[in-house]
Amino acid sequence: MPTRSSDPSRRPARAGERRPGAGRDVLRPRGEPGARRARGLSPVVRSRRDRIGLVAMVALLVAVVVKLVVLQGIDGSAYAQAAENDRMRTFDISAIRGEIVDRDGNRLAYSVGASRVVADPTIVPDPERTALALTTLLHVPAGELTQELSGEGRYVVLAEQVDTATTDAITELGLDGISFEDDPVRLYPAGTVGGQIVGFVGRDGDGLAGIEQRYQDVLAGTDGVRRVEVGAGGRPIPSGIDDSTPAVDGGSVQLTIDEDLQYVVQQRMDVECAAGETTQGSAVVLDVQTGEVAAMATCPGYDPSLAGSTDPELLGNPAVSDVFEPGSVMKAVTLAAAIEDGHATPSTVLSVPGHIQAGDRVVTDAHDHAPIDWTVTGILAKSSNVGTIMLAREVGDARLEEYMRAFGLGSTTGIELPGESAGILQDSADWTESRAANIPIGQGVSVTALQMASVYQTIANGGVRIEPRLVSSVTAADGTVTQQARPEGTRVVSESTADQMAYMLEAVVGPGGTAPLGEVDGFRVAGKTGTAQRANPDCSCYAGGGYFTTFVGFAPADAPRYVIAVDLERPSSDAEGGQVAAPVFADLMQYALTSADVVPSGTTRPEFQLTGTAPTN
Amino acid sequence: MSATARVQTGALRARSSAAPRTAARPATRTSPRTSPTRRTGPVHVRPQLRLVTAPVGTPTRTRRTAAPRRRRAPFVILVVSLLAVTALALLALNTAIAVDSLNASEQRATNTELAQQVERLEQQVTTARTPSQLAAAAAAAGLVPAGAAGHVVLGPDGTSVVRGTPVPATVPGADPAGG
Repeated sequence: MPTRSSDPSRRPARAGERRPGAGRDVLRPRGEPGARRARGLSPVVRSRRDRIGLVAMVALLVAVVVKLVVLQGIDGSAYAQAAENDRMRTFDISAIRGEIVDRDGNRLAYSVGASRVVADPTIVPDPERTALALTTLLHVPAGELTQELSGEGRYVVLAEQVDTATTDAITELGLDGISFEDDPVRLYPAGTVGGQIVGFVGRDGDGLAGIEQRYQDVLAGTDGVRRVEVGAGGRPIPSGIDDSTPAVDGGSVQLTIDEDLQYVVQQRMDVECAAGETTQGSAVVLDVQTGEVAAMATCPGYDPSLAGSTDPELLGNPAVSDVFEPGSVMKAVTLAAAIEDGHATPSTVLSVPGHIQAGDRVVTDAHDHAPIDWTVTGILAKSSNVGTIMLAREVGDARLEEYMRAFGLGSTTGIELPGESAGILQDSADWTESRAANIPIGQGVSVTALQMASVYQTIANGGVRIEPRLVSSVTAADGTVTQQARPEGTRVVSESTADQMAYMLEAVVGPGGTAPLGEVDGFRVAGKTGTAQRANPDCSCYAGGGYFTTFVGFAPADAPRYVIAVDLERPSSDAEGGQVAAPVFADLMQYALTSADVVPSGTTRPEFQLTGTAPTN
Repeated sequence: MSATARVQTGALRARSSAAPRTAARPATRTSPRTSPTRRTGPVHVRPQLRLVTAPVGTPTRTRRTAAPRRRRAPFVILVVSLLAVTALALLALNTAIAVDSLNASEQRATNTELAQQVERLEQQVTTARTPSQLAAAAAAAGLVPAGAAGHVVLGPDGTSVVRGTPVPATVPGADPAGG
């Protein structure tokens, strides 16, 4: 370029270019005015001017290049990032929490996608009209909505856990400034049925009780993020950048619970609590062969979907967390110890007096009586305290404690529920003489309903104890199923002892026993009643505290299928377990066996020898 | 480029100062014909300047400069048309991608919609099959809970025995405790 402006000889040529005819035969062709002036400058000045121009141009170019390098090379990523951020929007994707299902796959708890309706008041054109449009859909008063929409901020939550049908209807309205965020809702279709087992979640979606709490890690899943390029309206560009991390949904937990049986148990317990005198009742149904919990219910129960508005006192699972003195149902443990250690057989006859001295106290039978020659079967059938204490003294405190602990008393069963109580069983070394007489008959020792059911499961299962379990399998989000490990069975007493116990426990329900009401039509039933004094919280004594009435048993006695433990807390009644808890047991067992299609064996109950002739010594 | 240019100007200047007129005249004459070569710079102009002193050289130069013009035209047309075709192809491709992507997002939306519909229906089923709903529906249909069941057991010799004592169902609504 510099050549043109600096070369005077070229000027005419260029001028001639423009006007071809004009300059052909002219010696001094006419040039432009500027060119004529430039011709007057000396070559030195012109050369200097060229140089200055060149330096100026180069300097400008260098400046531009430097700026370019700075923009592209050094700050480049930052600017690119800023530009991208301007175009990208991030939306949270909530993971859907896993399901909790019963053993047949019926849902006890599950989550569905729902939305949180939010608004940006700065964009909402007419708060009042928008509020009127939303009020019926969101079930929020129009006034409240108007106030929210007229606020200062850029983010207000109008409603939470709004179902998809409603959000679709809102989208149809095409309102400006209203948007949705993921806010899944947890549903408990069965309500109270299994509510205490399933537990509930808090407002943030974390499990706060039951399986929901215990299996939080499995159920929760991992939230994802949707990061997309958006257009001017804030709507994602279909072919734009999509930098999303999908949410990983939570895994499912399958329980061993049978929802139908659970429903019947819950209904029956509710009837019992509604009757008035029972303030609290628990029932546990175990499968004898596997130790699995088929049903576990407490009255009063609670509906997990209403947990937020329920008395916090009720939000537990008393069947595993509340302890009570079991009373006479404990005698099965004492007698099993006596038989296992060879101190007695079912037909051993003892002369049982009506009362017995135990340290500073006198323990009597339910009704004091003159000495009777009872067989051991008779002692159990009649639930004789004195006879049981006599046998316990044969066994010895330390040995009895060993058996009790082997049956699982004083330690947790390890069931998959939070807040399980171990019960209370003191070391035999600390037993006073009166306590040593009380413990064999189930006073001064505390158990949970589940532990008591587990004791009878051991007897029904031929002496092999299998710790109760509630979860059968866990299914991860990708479909892999993990079967929960079954606890190894531990032998507590020999099969022969267990059979003899089953035989004697059948006498309890038979003629002359304490619980004829525990009979189930068509089936042979073995079980034991319990009526334990309840400590009166007002005086920390037994006076006026009422009773815990219990019945624990299994059926069919000749091929046990289910163990059911029922315990009812009756502070204002002195009715015995045989009258109160046994009928509940019978109703539940009736349903459990019928629904499981258990066919009666057709064998008849043996004749029991309750009394005999005591050997004179 | 500028370095070469300057060397040439130096040469030109030296000559113009020695014989400004002779140099200027031929330049004026040839300039219309050289005009197409202007782009390529003075490199091509320079040999012409030398040859100008012989007037006979003019026709030769005309042929020389005209020939590339004819050869270049198809090439330029080719390049331009290639550019045009590429631009059109790109446009078509982009349009196709945009259409597909719109379709995809529409179908995704439909998918989501259908998934939600399935979820809603499943929810209805789940609610309807809970034991309490079933019990209510059964009671409404006049059903009552079954009592104790009787089982007819067939022996190997073909004889049959009834086990359990079947109990006739209660009058609907009479026994809330059920079975």
